[in-house]
Amino acid sequence: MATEDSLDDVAAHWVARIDRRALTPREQHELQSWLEADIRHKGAFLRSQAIWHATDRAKALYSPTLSLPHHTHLPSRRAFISTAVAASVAAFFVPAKSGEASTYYSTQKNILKCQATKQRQIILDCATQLEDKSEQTSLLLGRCFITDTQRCVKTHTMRFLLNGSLLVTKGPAYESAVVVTGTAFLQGQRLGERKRLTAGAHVTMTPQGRLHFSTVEQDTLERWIAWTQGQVSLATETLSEATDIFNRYNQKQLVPSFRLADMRLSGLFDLNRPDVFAAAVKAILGGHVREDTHHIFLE
Amino acid sequence: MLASTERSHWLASYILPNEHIVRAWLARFPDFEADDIIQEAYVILSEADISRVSNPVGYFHTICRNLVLRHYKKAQIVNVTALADLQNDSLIDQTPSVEEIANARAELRFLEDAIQQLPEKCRSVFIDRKINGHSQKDCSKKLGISESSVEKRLARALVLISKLYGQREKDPQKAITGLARGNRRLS
Repeated sequence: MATEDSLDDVAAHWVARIDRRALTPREQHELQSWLEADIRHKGAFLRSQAIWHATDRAKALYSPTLSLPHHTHLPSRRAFISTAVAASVAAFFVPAKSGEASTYYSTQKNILKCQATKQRQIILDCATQLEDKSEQTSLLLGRCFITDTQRCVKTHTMRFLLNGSLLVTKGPAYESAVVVTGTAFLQGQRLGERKRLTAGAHVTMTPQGRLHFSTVEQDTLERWIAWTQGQVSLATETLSEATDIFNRYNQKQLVPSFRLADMRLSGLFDLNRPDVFAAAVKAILGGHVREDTHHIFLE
Repeated sequence: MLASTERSHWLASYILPNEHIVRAWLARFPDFEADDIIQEAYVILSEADISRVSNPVGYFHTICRNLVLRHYKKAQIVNVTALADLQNDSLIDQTPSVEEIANARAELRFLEDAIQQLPEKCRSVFIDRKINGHSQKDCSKKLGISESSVEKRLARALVLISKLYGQREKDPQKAITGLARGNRRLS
């Protein structure tokens, strides 16, 4: 390594070299000599390593999503390009034939991003099933975020004509949708009957089959769609509820103790980093963290 | 290597994002290079029992303060203003830095800005390696450059981000509202 460089330069080069491949015995000796030459060398190296780890969080800016290349409506298996998948998430999706001119998508513990065009995007949350046809998109189960123009989006009982972005949720006995940007027309039972919804409009289908309309604040909307960026925004959730959210996205399961279960922790966290959340619980709520292969116990 | 991965993550999570606060305080002491103090403090942190540290930034500040004192004693010079600053010890509130630490949103914003500020060549390598998760070897194939160039650009990106961490300033407009802020600057 060039000795005329600053300590940060030299340290960063070593960190990048170690990331590239294992050091040769000669390089190990060279690094060790450099580190022992001055305490500041060691400090610069430690700091550079910390920066390397800190920048891992940047993944959250871009996903944990997968991106699909542009695809036609012809039914065929699609190759996909992984843009950013944190190692802890098992990427699993099955676009498969389900009929004429339609594509069926299913997710388990991952978020799936399908970008057909610049204007058209569908993001599936974990545990979601969706059927995409040339003329309409149907959410069968789970949650999805759709951006499109003049697009028909439907659940079992609701049907929208979308010009903007819509967050749609469908459970076994529950359906809801909220307009995030632009407008959406909710189709009524009768031909020609429809209701115009703008950003923040939230419509819920009750188990009794009744529609309930309400308005959602911008802050709440941002929290609701944080998952599309691979994040979770915690505000009022108990630790028990928060760990349920993380556990949906990760193989490694968070297990809160009885003592911590009712406590609350606010903040924006990376959905793929239950370990970072556990560290925050430890630092803020004074919890103790214990791990085994499949669990992180918060006690 | 020197630091266990867990310790390095601890430094990345609790010290690095707040390092600029201590650097701003260190700027009061013109007799020393802030970098020297900070680097030495990282070594001390790497050897400390961090499991008992409830206020990482306060602890970091204390280490830096003691290092400044030690350097003054060693140099046998005492700058009167500096001594007053040391005695006041008014940088950091010793209450736990809860929300500041947990402010992942601000941290992500900072990283996003930092990545945007990287030169194009460094940025593309950095994104490919750190965000898309490709190995340096795959990055070199994908970008059509040598592995050595990938390594150099990655190192350059790290150095630039390192500088930005050091110069970082909090933007009050970007802070999450409704939360009390720990580790606030008191002077």
